[in-house]
Amino acid sequence: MKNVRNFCIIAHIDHGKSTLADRLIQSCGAISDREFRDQVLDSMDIERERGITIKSNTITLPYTAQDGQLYELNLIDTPGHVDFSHEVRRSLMSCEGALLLVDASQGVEAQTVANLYLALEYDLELLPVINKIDLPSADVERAQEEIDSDLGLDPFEAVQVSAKTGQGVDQLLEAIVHKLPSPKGDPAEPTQALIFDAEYDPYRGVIMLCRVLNGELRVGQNIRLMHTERDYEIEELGRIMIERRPEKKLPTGSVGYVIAGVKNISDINVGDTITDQERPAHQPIPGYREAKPVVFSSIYPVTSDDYEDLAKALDKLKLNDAALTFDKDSSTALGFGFRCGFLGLLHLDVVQERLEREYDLSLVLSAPSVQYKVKMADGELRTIDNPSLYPEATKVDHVEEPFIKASVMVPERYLGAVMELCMERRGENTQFRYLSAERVELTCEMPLAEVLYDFYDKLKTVTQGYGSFDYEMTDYRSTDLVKVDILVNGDRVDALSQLVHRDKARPRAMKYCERLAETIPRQQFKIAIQGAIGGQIIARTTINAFRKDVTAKCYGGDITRKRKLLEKQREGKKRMKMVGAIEIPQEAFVSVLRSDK
Amino acid sequence: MAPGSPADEAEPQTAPWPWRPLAPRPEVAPTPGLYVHVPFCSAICPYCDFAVVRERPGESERFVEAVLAEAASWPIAPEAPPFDTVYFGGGTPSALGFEQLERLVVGLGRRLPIAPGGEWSLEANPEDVRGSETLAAWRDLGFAVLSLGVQSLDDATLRDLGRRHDRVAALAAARLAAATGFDRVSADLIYATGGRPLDSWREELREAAALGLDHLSCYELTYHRGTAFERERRLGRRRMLDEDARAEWFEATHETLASQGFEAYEVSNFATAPRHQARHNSKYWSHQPYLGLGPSAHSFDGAVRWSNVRSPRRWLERLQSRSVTGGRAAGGEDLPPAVAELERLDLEQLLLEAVSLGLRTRAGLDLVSLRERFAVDLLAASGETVRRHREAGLLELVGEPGRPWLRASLRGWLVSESLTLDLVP
Repeated sequence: MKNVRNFCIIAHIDHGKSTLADRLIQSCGAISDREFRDQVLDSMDIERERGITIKSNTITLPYTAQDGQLYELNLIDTPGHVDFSHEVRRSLMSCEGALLLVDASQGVEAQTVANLYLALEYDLELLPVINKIDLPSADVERAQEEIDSDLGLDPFEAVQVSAKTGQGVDQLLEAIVHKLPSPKGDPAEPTQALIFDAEYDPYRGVIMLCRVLNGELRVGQNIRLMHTERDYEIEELGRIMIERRPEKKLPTGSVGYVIAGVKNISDINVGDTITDQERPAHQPIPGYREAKPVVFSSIYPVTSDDYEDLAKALDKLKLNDAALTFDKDSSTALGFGFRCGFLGLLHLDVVQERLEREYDLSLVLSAPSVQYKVKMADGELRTIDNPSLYPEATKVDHVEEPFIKASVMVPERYLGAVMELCMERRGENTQFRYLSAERVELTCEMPLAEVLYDFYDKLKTVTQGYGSFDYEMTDYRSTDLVKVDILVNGDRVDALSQLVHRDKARPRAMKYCERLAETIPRQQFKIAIQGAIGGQIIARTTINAFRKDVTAKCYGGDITRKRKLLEKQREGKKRMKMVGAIEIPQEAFVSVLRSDK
Repeated sequence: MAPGSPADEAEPQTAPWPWRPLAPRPEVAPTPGLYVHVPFCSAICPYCDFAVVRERPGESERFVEAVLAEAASWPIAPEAPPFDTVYFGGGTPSALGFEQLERLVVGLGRRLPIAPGGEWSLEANPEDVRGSETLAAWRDLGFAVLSLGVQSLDDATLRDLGRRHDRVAALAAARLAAATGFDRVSADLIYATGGRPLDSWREELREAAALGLDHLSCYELTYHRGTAFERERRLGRRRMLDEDARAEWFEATHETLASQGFEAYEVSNFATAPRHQARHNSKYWSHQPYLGLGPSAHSFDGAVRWSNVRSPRRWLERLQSRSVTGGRAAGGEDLPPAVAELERLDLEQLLLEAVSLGLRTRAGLDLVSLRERFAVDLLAASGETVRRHREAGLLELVGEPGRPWLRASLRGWLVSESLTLDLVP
């Protein structure tokens, strides 16, 4: 146990976490150059392409240090995004130390700070690492200053590396051995192991990734998952060294995998504690929290024929993504689909992209919504995330919506623009502190719903890409919520209804109306597109009737051409959705809804 | 091979299947039409997308022989009824010399079954009408119908359209033709060319209606791909009237001609009396079979559509060379030498055509006939659509009890494509 180091790397997106992990793996010789591929630990295409980590992963690296001793380095790769902070927390709980990665050209960013606080919460030893020192734009001195001012860490402790070239990686390995603590824990205590992630293997079922805190795990042991109170028998366990390497037992302080005949990923909860059936621990490991979806959207296939495929695809995604929730949903305009819950917008994005790419589905997603707490006039409390389930306004006493604490880090010159943006997004209690002469961290309390609607895009625009953003959920607060309906010639398009704050209702409705007017083709009659709250019209556009589509000449040879054109148009028409007598092309929904995120 | 064809002609191989026309309805005999495409023009009009060329010396003689060779290449099924219309279109058929026209008329009569009372039509350009003798000669050759390519009575418009005649020549040709004793004289006019007020077009229509003609075809200017006009439009040098304006010109055309005693029997065609409706062209709209000869000519036997090689010179080469065989259709059929494409229509495609073509005519859709042909009852299948469009004044239900016809109103004509798609979704 003395020679074990459990650590993770925490970093902002793009700061080179996966590349650094690659380099550590190679330096320890855990993988031959022939087997090597970039971002070894990111197994999903989407992780590789976007350079983000969605699932946690782990690898055990044998390392012979300069003192001649053999060390076991357990690198636990964590997601860097707030959507996956649940996974981050679990991973942090499995470590004693963390490498805090700072990009020498970008400096400290909001996510780095958020992750730092998280790490401190779990009492981790922090080792700052300045990466990308090979870049011409690298400013190591500034990065050191920011480590001092923004993070409050000793900048001279920071190891300077280039994960790309491998420069400094040897020093980093030494620093890991000497500066990070070895695990504590009592081999004699009853078994306590933390499940920090799990994945689904079609041949073996669920593979749990665990960190043994006390006692040990061994093959054949009868175990109990303390929160779900389910019992299993360990079939196989071992370390992960790229491949799974089976062993007889996992001792105190070690990190590895456990296969115990768990069939579905939903049967276990990440964060749960494994203990021994005969000699159980008194308590589970503290800090357990279920990952709850906070963002909801309905997903419909563009062609209704794809509904079954969508259902199968969601089932498959769910095998490896316990946080994803879905239930059947249907819309008059878009047909059958699923109401899905996500950890956040990135999670939603990732799921959508995987469905479209890995399962070749073409999808329409309704406007993302948060979960509202609706207090009814009769005292009943309802939780509502779907506009179609929103009760009549007269029956509602009041509504509460989720708030977040948002943190934005920007160069000082953009402060005004960001404050304005936050105000516009109903931000409250805006505060800022200077991290250095030019950098400011702005925090404010803001409804989560405001972040769902093009907040990232706006932030990127007003800060010219220099702003970084992070948030955490705080509480529920009272809000003036209305349901905005979109009517096409008087018929409600249910898929376009949305719950918004009263102040935002008009501009939002207008935007929808205008987009629809641009994308719905002219038809044989005039079409009125309206936005309404109940019976009150708050926005309106019209599409004039088309006047003429008949071709002038139609003789011998024109007939074939004409028919082929009609056949093509008919195909297009089949993809239209009827709302009343109006044909709305799928593209209209896509164009209205795609721009929402 | 048809009897009587001269042995010295370079006959291409016989078509791989015989001409066997089918009727749109089983209980009646088909009445097939024959179309001959004459591709020559003295100049190419900037809006035209037909298969046309400027004639090289001696080319028209070779063309005539090739048309006859193509006609002879068709074995005629024993049960095939004779062609009862023959239409010379183009291009400019009137650009052919009298002897060439005569050779075609006589030669076609020898090679193909043409009904004795069949109606022969000739398209002619006003500048080719050199006097009453020309007209009388055409009439005496057997052309009962003359279709004049007047296009406009306005000199500025004629110049814009790149025509080689002026208002005076057009008026003279029309008046002379009307007095020659044809069964029917028609004129083509083009509108919505831009650059003139709608009232001047109304005036022009009234003037055309007063020329003593029996038939008028009025076409909105279409910007076809590959034409000079379309190129100019794309480059922003020429502006197409917007949709609302074009609809307005269409309605003005119909209203004006109706007031002058011309009844619209098709979207773009007007006649002073039912007997003056174009018999040959009406076959296109009623799904009657037709055989096309010449470059780009299209044929339809009631179930299969095929089209000839579009380029006039390549068409000529194919027919002049004994060794050249036709291509192969997508279905694997061997094609006759002149044929470039072939398409076998299924019932669904035929229905779509029948409805789209039928809605172009004033008579409309014979619902009983449609039901017999396609086993589709439009009133039952698209009842809600029909009701909605009747309410909106786009469709009209007419005819006798037990024999309903569904037709487009004037406003319905304007949007008849979308009506078609509504009726046969």
